[in-house]
Amino acid sequence: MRRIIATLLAIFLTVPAEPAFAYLKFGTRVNGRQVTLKWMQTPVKYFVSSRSAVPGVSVDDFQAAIGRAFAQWQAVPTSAIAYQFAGLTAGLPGEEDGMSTLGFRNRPELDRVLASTNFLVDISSGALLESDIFFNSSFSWSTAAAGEVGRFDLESIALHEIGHLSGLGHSALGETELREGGGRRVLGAEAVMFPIAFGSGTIAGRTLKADDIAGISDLYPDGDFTASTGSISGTVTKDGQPVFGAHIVAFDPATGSMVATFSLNAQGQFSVNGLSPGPHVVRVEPLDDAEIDSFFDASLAVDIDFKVSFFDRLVVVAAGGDRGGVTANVSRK
Amino acid sequence: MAAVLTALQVTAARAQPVGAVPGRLEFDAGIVWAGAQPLGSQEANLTTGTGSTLRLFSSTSDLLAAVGFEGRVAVKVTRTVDARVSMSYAKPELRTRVTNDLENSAGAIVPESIQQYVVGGGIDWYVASRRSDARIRPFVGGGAAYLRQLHEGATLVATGTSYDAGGGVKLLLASRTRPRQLMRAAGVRLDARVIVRTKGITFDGRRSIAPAAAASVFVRF
Repeated sequence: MRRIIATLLAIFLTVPAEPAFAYLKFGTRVNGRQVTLKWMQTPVKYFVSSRSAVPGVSVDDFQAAIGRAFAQWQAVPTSAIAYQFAGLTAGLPGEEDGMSTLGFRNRPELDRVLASTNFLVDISSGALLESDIFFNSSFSWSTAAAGEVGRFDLESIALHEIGHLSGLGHSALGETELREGGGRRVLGAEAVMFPIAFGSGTIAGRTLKADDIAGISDLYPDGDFTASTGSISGTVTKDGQPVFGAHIVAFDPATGSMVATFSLNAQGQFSVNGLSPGPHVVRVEPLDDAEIDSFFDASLAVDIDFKVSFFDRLVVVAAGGDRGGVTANVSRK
Repeated sequence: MAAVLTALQVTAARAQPVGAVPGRLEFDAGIVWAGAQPLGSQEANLTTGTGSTLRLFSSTSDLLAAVGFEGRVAVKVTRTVDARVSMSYAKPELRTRVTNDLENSAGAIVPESIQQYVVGGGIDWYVASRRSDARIRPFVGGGAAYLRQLHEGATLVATGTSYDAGGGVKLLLASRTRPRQLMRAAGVRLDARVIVRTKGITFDGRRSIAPAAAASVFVRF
């Protein structure tokens, strides 16, 4: 079996060139075809490094916090993903040992990376074989129920990384502002899979949002997910030309929930899956609230030179159906 | 038995001045206007680091007022009461107004067209009139109906119940009392109602109340 290790940090991922995906997922090419990376067998067994104690967080605290994070993803009723704690290991995350291991490692040189997820992938099928998550112990961590000032909430960050471990890429459903001296500060986010974490001391990232639930359900559909939800698909154009990398948000005016995607190919095509039946407002915006390479390969030309705009009709989503042919025209800034 | 017959005759005699419309079976057709139905507001919120919300944009939705067609068949039940079945069709617009965009978008008004069918029944009661030959016959009434609303493209259906109560007048333009004539009366019906809808297209799950008015022509046989 041919194997390759793809190392993907929380702020960095590869992106499939086509087809248009409903949600940003990790992908790889198998025999010239783009294949979504996912676990072929569940439950996904994971180990906890017995060397995971850091100041303020014992191994037991660590195991409990990530257990709660795994449980949240597993509790999504429309997703079939399941996880199983397989025990403690003396190994560390990042070692190719056939075990998916979570633990701390001290990486002070990664001064903006709280955590990252690595994959071992079978490139003949796209199946995930192993996935490790390391949490950077050069930062201060907490598992306190209400959080702790000056410490990052382990459960929140684990929730994000487990999304990666499951095969999800980043969501752009958030707003940021530039910091003086570099970097960005998150003003708000409506997806755990937003690439930039909230600051230390907060536990606001402990809850999955509609966008995360749609993403994991799209990747591992269960029950009546496909029959009970619908999708919107179409293209984004500017001056008659397709736009690559536009961020498309489907907003349900009945519930206020938002699910988002990108136009993901050279034709500007997009597809938003996992939408509740009913009319939706479609908002198109440039990808300007995080670094482009948090979402796409830096070599891809993402167009951010257009104004935020709304599709001119309510788009009605039917259960089990796709409302195709939505052409959203945007104009230059 | 004699006592009963006597009582009926007395009742009939007393009912004579009441403003019933001649004829037993009525058909009418016309137009109906229904007022706007607010569907509520929702904000597209992001969660902040403190757990509060940051508004990305706001939305307010309404099912707009619309004029449609209405048809009705009524049967005289008593001298003063008609039972009716009715059907109406309209194409109101569902409109969402987007405002307060965080990134200074100009906002938008995004509509869709709804096809609305209402099929139901009710009772009309003719209010007593001192003049038996009055050409204006006031009435009050109420009813309940099945509501079926199809979203644009007819891919999604919302159903519910519609209740109405109100009153109006029938203007008799022609009235014949000779027994051999098939058509007994013809005229114009004008009414105003309050419509209460449950379910159907609703964003907040609450019942909605809207005014309505209708005008139609009728014939009675």
